[in-house]
Amino acid sequence: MLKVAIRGLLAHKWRLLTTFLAVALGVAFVGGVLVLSDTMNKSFDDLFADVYRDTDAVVRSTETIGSDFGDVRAGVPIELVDVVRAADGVAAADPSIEGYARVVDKDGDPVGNPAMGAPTFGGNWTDIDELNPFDIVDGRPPEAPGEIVIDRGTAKDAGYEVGDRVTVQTQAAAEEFEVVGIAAFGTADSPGGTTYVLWTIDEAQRLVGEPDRVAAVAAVAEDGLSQAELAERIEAALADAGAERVEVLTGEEITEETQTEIKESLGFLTTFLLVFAFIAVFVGTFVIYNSFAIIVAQRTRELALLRAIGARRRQVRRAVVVEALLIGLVGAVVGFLGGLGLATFLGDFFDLPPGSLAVLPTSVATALITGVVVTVASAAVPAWRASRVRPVAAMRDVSVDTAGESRIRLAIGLVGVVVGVTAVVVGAVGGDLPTVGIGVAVVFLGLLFVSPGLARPVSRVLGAPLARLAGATGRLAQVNAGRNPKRTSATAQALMIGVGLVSFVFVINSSIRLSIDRTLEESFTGDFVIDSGTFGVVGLPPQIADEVAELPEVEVVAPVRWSPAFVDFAPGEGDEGDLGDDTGVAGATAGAFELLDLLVVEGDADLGPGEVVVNVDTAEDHGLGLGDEVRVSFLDDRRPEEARVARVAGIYDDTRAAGGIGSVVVSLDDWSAALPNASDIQVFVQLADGVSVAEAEPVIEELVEPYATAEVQSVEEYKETLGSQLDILLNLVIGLLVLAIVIAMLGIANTIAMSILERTRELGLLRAVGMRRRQLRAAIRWEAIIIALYGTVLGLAFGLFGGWGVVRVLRDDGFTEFSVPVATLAVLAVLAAVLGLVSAWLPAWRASRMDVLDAVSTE
Amino acid sequence: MENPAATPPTSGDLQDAPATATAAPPAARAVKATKVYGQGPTAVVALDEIDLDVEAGRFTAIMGPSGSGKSTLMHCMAGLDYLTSGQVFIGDQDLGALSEDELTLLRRDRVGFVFQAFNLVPTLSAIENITLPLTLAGRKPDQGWLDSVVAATGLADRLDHRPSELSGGQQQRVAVARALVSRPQIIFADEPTGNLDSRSGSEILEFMRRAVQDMGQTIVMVTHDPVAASYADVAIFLADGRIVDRMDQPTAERVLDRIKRFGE
Ligand SMILES: Nc1ncnc2c1ncn2[C@@H]1O[C@H](COP(=O)(O)OP(=O)(O)O)[C@@H](O)[C@H]1O
Ligand SMILES: [Mg+2]
Repeated sequence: MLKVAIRGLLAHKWRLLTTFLAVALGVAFVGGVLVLSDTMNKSFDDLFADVYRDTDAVVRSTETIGSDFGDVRAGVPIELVDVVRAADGVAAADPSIEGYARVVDKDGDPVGNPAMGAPTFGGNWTDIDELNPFDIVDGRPPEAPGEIVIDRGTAKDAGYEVGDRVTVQTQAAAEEFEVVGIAAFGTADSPGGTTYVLWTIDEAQRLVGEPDRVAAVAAVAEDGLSQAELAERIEAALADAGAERVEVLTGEEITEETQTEIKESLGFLTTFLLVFAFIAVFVGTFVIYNSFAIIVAQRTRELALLRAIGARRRQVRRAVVVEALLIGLVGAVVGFLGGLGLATFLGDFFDLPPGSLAVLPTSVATALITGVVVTVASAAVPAWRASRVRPVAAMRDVSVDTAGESRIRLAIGLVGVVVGVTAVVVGAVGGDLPTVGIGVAVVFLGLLFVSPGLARPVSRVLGAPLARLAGATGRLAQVNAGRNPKRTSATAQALMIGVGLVSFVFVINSSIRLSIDRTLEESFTGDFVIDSGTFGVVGLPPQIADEVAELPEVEVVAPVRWSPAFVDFAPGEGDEGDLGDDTGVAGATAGAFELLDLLVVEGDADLGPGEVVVNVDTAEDHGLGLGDEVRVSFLDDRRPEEARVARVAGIYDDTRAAGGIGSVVVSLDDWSAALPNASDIQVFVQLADGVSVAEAEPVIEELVEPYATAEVQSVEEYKETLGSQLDILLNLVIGLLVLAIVIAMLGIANTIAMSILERTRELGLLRAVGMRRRQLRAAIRWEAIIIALYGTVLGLAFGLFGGWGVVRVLRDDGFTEFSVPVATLAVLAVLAAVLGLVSAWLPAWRASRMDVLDAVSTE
Repeated sequence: MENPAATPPTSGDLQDAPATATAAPPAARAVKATKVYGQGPTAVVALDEIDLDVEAGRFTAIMGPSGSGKSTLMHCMAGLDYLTSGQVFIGDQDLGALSEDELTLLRRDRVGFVFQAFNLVPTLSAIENITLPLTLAGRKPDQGWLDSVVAATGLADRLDHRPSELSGGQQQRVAVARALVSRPQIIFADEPTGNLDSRSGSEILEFMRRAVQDMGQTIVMVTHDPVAASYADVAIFLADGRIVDRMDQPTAERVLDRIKRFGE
């Protein structure tokens, strides 16, 4: 039977082309993502191995705090640098200071954006070669305040040369420096696209560090001393000096830890991309299933003949499975090769060094197995059906399978849809996210069951205007689209998945945008927002707020800060040494509460030194009332522990606006006392009475001109900024779903092409009685459009409803509004119809070219 | 002829109207029509310089043994296939001068077809199949004419049925009705009764004969059945791609007789 399978395959090779493509595309995506991930891991491994190659030990703080952007670690006191240098066995040691800094280019725009790409770092130059991964390629190292070295990548991007005067902005300041040198990272322009500004140690301290603190101390061992031995000796020296809360890592340890951390964060990216790769594969299963189902139906007579002459059911089934196996294997291999191409392309996109793909055996195996297993599993039902063909069918006319309106199936599906819809509605109203999730999944499964039953009536409805407008071609398209309900529905389902997900994402996006707009309109009473254009990742120097406050046009200036911190809600209750829970705290003034229209329900928001305001939930959770004490400790907090205790001065209601400012709000005085180099994340501005936005904007703009990253935005612009931040994610997700839609389109082309083969005689008859070529083409294209629209309608229904459920259930988490982007979805529907048309182009053209006489006399 | 085609259906377009039997130009014509399949030593001459005038308003049967070229002749005269040399005309239109699309339009507007089997589009109802050539042309059926064609099929109560719900004979009647509905200049039928039992067959033949007699239609029918040929006004005999005989008012016995003589 293997021979039969191979013969069958060869006989149908063109028919299986789209199936093969569906497998190959899915595998290419999966394989590409895996190889990309391997490659990125490898290049970051290499990168950090390079960075720490000759570092033998690192001293750092043990104090960390969790935040949305990963763990943040405290610094070590600067005195320890000398302790390390003096330690036995240390050949050389230098502090390492690293923070946010951006070079401003000649047009006044900052280079790079840490919110959307590689980090932008500023730090200290070290003269100890072993500790410095950079090599000066032009000029010299920085020797005095006011001098910098920049990486070659930044120099190229911004067109800077040695001797140029360059503005650098940090969270603490924006100042001008002289470029005295340009450095390369080995053979690369910069480490992984990261931009670097390097100062002397003192300057780095002032601009990106905290006074008296450095991020870490790195040391090189004397000749002949092992890393472990060095670490031990440094530990001893630190203990002698009475240093607390510090640890010593060997060079190998820090390398490995950094490599692991980066792998974990890349793991998120890989998982995210793999989700979309598997969606594409899943859509492919519908195409594969359909192909085999159609082929089996078309070969009924041949299969019956095999059965009649003694082939056993098992043998027939195996013939089909082997065919699927071969297709799956070839598709997977070709797909994986395509995946290598994809990984190379994406590698370029992510600035990986060229020509260094890392292909691990596990990735190869995963991709290939995915392709083969998916193909064989998709063909399982058709194979089973093939084995059920009765030998007598060989003697009978083959009738086209029009089944699909199975009542049981329809009933199960309808029950599923009703149960799912109910679950979504109940969950959405009751605020129960898991119920909504399960409901959406059940609706999806229900639709899979119902859709064959709906295929005929829906094509009738969708085709009705066509039949009226396009006459005979429209009418034929209408009836043909509903001719094989199972086939039509499997084809449409593939599209439904893509369209459903895309419309879901659109609905969520549009709902968030509307919610933000409404919240801002309703609660923000200010006129401007100033931030650093990094979506809150980094802040601005506090001078900006001070300077804006001096303007006569301005009434209220309300800077807001944010940081992870330890908060002890019951200090002094026998828990010495415990600083409290990791909590995001905000720093603000009364003005922020006023401009954000936050309701203070108890006390007031007039934050002075030693005072905090908490939100209602926090007050309830920790039993806090006015005057109660809480202790807020920052990392590198300069205040003694006693000075960190503050009293609750007010309790505010943050449920009205989207999230308020934060659960614990600290006064700016306390904040600055704790962290002298603090920065403002946002500055809200309200103008004086009678000053218009148009009048004030240029004045404020001019004032912040020296701060390149500061963006002055009116409320309208601010809405747009928040929206565009969402759009980046939206576009990424849509982009990743495109392949799923392309595969669904292949499915349409596949179904149409195979159906046409089946209808050769009928098409010949139509041509004989006077159907013109272009009428025939039109009829076939219309048919594809109806199928595409059917899938789109299912997808839209699913996406809109799922979107509604999720938006409703999250109404207390910022989704205050539900919004349907009607115009966008209409464009989506039109686009799907156009893609349907395009996918039928070739089959339609081929059908119209066939010889009338041959067609009429086809067996 | 007991009932000459006295009342041809009137149509504004002269070309579309079937010519009357008397002194009219032929409905279709073949001049030195030659068709060769293949090349070199394996070439088959299916039609060998055939000259034939199909008289308008008459029922012509083309007879001959299997492989004699009947189907080929019909296909070439109907614009479904091209000649190797020679000419064929529908009315005075030389088919060789027409492009593929013009041929299609000619088939749609001026030629009717009845095949041996698979005559109908399975997804369309009987009435949709009947009116198909008109819908393809984007024309409204002439209701009176449509009614009389439908009445003649005797299927007035089954018009909304799908072909699969009709018997073989009924399907063929629908096919003939479809051929009639656009009032073509000529109808070609290739063994229209070949797949039917004799009763259903005679119903179709009767139907076609009435179409010629009462409606003035021109029909060319390929058959190898002497009984079928006896419904025709004239029988043409083909052998090895040539016309070997012609018989007016054939009867089954005379045709059978003639065929036997070929056999000898
Ligand atoms: N497509 C074709 N290719 C080659 N030879 C053909 C083809 N069609 C018909 N023939 C040959 O042409 C001759 C006439 O065939 P046909 O017109 O079908 O005869 P009939 O209809 O009288 O049985 C036969 O010898 C047949 O084998
Ligand atoms: Mg024949």
